[in-house]
Amino acid sequence: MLLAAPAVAGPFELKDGDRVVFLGATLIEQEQRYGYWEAALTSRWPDRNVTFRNLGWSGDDVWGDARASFGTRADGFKALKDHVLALNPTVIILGYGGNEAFDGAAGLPKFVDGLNVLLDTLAPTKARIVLLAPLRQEDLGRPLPDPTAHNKDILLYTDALRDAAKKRGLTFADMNPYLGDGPKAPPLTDDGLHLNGAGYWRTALALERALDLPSLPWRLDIKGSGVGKTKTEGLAVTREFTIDRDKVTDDMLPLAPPPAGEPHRPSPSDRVVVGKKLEAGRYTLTIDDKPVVTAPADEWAKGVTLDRGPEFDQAEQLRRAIVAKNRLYFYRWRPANETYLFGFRKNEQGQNAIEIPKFDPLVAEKEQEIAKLRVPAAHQYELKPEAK
Amino acid sequence: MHANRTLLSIGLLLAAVPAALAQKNTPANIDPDPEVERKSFQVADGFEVNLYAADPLLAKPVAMNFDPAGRLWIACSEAYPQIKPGVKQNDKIIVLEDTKGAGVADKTTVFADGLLIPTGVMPGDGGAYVVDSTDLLHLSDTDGDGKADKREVVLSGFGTEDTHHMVHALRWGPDGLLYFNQSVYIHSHIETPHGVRTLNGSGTWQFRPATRELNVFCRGLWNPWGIAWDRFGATFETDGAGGEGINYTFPGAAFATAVGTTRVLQGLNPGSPKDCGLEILSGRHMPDDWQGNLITNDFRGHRVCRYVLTPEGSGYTSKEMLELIKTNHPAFRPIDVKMGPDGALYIADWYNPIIQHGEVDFRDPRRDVTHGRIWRVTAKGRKLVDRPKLVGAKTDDLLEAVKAPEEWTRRSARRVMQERGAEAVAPALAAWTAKLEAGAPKDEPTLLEALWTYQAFDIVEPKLLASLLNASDYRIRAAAARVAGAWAGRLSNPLELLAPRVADDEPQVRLEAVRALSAVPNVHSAEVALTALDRPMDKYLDYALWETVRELGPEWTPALQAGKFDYGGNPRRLLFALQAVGSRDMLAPLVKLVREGKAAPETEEGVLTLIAALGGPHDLAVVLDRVADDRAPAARRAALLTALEEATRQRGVKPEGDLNRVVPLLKNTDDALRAAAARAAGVWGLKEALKPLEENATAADASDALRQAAINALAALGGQEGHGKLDELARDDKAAGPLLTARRMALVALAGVDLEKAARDAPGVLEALPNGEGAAEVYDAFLERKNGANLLAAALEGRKLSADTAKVGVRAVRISGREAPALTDALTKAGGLKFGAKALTEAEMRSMVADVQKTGDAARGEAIFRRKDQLCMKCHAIAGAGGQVGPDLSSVGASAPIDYLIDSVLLPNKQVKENYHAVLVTTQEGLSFTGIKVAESPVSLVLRTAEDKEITIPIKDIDERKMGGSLMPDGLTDVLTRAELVDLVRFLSELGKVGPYSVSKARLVRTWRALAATPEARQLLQGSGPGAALSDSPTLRWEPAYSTVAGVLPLEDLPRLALGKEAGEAAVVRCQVEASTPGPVVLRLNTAAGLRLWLDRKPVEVKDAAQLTLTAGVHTLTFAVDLGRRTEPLRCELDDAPGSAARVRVVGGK
Repeated sequence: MLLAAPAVAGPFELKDGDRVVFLGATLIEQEQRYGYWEAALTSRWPDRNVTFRNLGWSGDDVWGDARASFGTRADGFKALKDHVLALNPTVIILGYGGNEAFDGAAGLPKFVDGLNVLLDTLAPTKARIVLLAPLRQEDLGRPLPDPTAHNKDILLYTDALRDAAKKRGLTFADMNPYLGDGPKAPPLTDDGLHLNGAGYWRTALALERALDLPSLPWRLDIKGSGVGKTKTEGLAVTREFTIDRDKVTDDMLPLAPPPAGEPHRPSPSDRVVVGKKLEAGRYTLTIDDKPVVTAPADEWAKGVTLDRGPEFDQAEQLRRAIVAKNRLYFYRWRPANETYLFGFRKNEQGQNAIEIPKFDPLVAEKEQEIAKLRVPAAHQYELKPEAK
Repeated sequence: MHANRTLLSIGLLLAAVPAALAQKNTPANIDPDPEVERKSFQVADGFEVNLYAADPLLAKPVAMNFDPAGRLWIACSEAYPQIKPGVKQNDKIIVLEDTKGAGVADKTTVFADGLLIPTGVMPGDGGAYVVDSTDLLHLSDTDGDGKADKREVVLSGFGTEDTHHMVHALRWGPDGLLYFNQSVYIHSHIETPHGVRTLNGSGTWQFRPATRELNVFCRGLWNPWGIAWDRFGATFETDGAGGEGINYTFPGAAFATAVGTTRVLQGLNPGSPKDCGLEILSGRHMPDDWQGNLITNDFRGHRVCRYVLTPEGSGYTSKEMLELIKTNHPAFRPIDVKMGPDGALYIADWYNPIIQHGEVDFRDPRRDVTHGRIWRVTAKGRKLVDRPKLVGAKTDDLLEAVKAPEEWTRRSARRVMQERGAEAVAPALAAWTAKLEAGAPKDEPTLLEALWTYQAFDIVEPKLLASLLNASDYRIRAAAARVAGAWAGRLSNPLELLAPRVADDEPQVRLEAVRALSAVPNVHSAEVALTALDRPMDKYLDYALWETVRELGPEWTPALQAGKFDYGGNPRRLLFALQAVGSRDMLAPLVKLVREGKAAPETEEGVLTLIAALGGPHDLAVVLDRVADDRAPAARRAALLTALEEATRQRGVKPEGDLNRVVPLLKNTDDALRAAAARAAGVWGLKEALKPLEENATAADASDALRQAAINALAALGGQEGHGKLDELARDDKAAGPLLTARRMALVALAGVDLEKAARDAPGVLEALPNGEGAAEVYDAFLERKNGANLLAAALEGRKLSADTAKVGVRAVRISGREAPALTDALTKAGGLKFGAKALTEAEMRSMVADVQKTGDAARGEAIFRRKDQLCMKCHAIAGAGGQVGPDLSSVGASAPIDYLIDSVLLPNKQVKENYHAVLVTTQEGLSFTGIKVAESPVSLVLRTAEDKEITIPIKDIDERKMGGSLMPDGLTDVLTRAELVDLVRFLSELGKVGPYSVSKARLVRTWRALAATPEARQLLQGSGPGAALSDSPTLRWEPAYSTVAGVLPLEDLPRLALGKEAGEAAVVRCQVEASTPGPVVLRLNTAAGLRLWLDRKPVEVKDAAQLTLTAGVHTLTFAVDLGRRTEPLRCELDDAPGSAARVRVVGGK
């Protein structure tokens, strides 16, 4: 599978003031419970105020079927449209096609029609639209189903999405090529279909690559035992570190650490600390005087990959704040008891509907917290001989 | 204007009430001491209750299940009914353990927290499945500290439109699948690796975690919070919002509310309170006469209920017995019930004075969020069961454990084996199964356990299956047939295996086999399924076959068209199949049968009805031939003619040939045939019918139905002649008796063709109607039509109406849900009515609540409830007797706080029950209808109007539809004094509470028809005695009458017929009973004094306990009451005759 370059759309980036709407089925909906994608996109531009709203709905399709509640398909589509338009999005990340692909080749023309209607409906927002390719179903062995046939259909639907993006000058993003080396890659799902926590963590990197966002290697050289200095030569992309009074201020946070129990897996965005010209012996990297990693001098000379430390802690705090924000927004836009609050029984408990907008200030409050957390803080890196 | 004022007052009331009431009746007023609650229990003889666990160890238990280690897993929600802004979601799964075996939980672990309204928990697969609003999670503890640290989203996309409808009732089925239910407002779209699975509305899901296969097992019920399987896998559910008690279900069954079907099954106990949770008793600790009994909870009425099932046909009958527990403790809310490892019964008590949230404010301060109890029920003096050690036991020991008499042990042992995995267990299972003897009755139940264990492993065992399909116990054959359906796709010969079971001697086996065949998609399975018709059918079998034939439609219909469908030359099979699929393309073979005279006499009417329903003009001519044939029975001719008339109305198709052949039928002696002919003449525009129609419209002996049909036909035939006659009738101010009825009908019909003329005639008709009787139809005729209300209002200018007639009009306006201020004003003036403000201030509400408790008199309140002018029973039933427009009120007092009852009476629109929302429909022709939705198919919508009439509206005619409020208009109680209102509310508040206003479980006659005291009735009875009431004379009118909550029919409420000096005064009442299994039954009367009795047409000797022998079907009991000799009210109860197999129920309803 090839990664298609966006036809007319410029390189993907988020701008100050952007309002990003995630729209789609389970893949999109469940992301909000983990937040790795949103955290990656939030921390990449710490100086830009970008807000995200997740309107994913499990089991949904381009017709809005899952949103129909008591109504018809048309009602479901209207709900989808109304929700999206009310948010005045400037960017829409669209994750459809996986469910529709169960209809196989026969269902393809119907899907293309539905997709075009959806894109026409979203067009008035003038938002930059990203079409995500559906993820291939993993083969986790029997008794789970053999996904071979479905994956062929997934390719058909992926092609249709790519074509639509090309025709309309939209960004197309396919994560599948970056999900690891096929069957040997550790599974991203428990059922072959739906990403679990580790799956979202790993696809956050795949999403960045699929969006053609540059990977950002990070390397800190520390000469001898002492305070670190930046070293940028030889890197694909130059990262700017600010060194001020012996402190390193990063320009962006790393991706939050993987879920508990999941090992850190190497990626081009790994953070490497190199200790040069160290005498033999074991050295401890401290950040802000707190020990982080201890390794022998020869390993430091080769470079040690960081997977923890205060930046990671902050990235995790950021992710948690994002998850909490999404939770509050979920209560707001998709509240339980809709029947009584806004539906045909609202004459009974409609008075309780006044509670629902009260989540708005709570969402705003969380976004304040996110705005603070996405900005990296200054830290002092030191390599010291291991304390005895 | 009026509506606006009401809205405003609702707003004010809501702003003020809850805080105010909090002062007066907070949970703090209820002593939360568990011992106080326990002592309030009235426990069935031979049982006792102890506290297993209570707050603060747990709060707000919603659902519970034991794991095979005997630990009790409980889902607890404090966030219910709605997460509050600023509060962190933190609902919990709690695990209780009784480590010492003392019958009391001594260890509590919070397994998981941070959840949002978890409505179900089921331990399994190394952790627990937990419902977390939209998601089904699997939570597990990987480090052994007892707390979940791993969270997997197993399924997502469940609806949350109503939080007590969310996924619940998680249980492992005997097949090793996880079952769970969702309720009527929920819409779920679930992605699985096999595709998206959708369930709109209520139903039961079936899920295999290992493969992620998710299917819908059955659909419908309002809020099915209980599911259980008996020893042989027969499946039952209870409904926490429906009132039919125990529901017998099977694969593909559908019940009320099921989305997307035109056909549903009923529960086994219509008119029951709502039940939550379900368990079937088994095991050595339980007394013999409780084995196999079903236990569920009437959480509104504070009762733990007991039902006893008896197999009948392919289903069951169910009888409610005295309660296991009942109490008046206002916070006892039993909502789940499960048997435990020690053979005792455990009950989750949600403990709350307030239930649910449809009717009670989410933030009502009386909602309890801190308490909860688990009660343990044991049989006095009986040994408990040693708690089996299953986890870690050797596989051979687990296999022996499935022989235990305790269902708990068998199910848990199978679970442990399932989790241990096929690789570890299957060899031992095979060796063990081989040692059991196929065909030996003693080993068969154990072999069934083995079959289920294989099913849990998803391993197909054709040999074992085949042997159990031939088991000596029919219940095992039925269970095996269900397994055959599940395995059908992987069996080499499913049809061969199932065919003999379709011909089984036992109807339950036939039912399961017929359903299993729908999983064998080929034409022959339909052919085999239809052979079930060769044996006796009943409602469950009929449904099962219909569903199977329908599902197999794509397989057999092409074969039929190709002439390759083998129905054994049996027209009954063919007819059934065609009725099931209802397709016009399929008619040819049927028309051929009729043309060739080969339709069997017993199926002919069905065949012809189907042709009429689906056929084209050429086909319909065949049916008209039969209608014109004098030799056929009149009733059949009338039914067929009605079917033809409907074909024209609904599909625009008329029979070919001379339609005037129906005109002579207008002079037939049969009233119903004349009516059918009148309707057909109108629809077909037969001018030749004008004269005979006029005669029928005014004939003295015409039934109301015939009169109506004739008048409608006159309207339809139009022209000077037809409409002139209507106008003439409507202006006949001397009309009385039947002619007054004709006058009213003529006016209503005239409104449809000339609204202005009708408006001019209307005041005269309204003035002539006594007490507003029949006036609602007149008002509706104007309200239904654009500008009708204004024309009528103008016509009423300066006229006087009786207060009742005017009141009916105001009510009709309110019910219509439409604005008609001019008409309301005109009626208020014409009737001299006064309408007061209805909203109570905070202080007024407080004082009224206090008065209801202090001075309210329930007996007086019941009398007000029963008063005809109050119209309560016109819409509401108690114990199934009464109108069906509004909710049954049997347990309203036990569930609703007093202030809400007051609101419901004064402001019915403030809180409306599930499915009692009016639907407002406007048709393309501009007609407006308002009613409760009864059913909806792709072609038509059926509404029940406030007059308790069902109307059918073709979907294609609907221009607009919207949801309205309650059909109960505000202001119905305007005429009550405050004291009367207080009494009425007191009565309502007592309904369902332990005491004189709880509905008895005896089979009492509650729905009656009383002979109206019309001059015609008097005349007929004076001449021929009360027995003349048995005649079907269309001039006799029967009015509804209802027994009191206590179950007696007061004589003073009955119409009195003066029969002359000697005979004195009499009343005639009748009721209906239905025998599903024929045989003798005992009719018990409080006293036989002054009564005469007829069973159908036959006189029966009246005794205090009379034995009647009933054939299958519905029978009418007619009582003549000599009012000079009898003063006691009439109490009439059915009881089983000793040794009789008869199953008889009392017919309820309106």
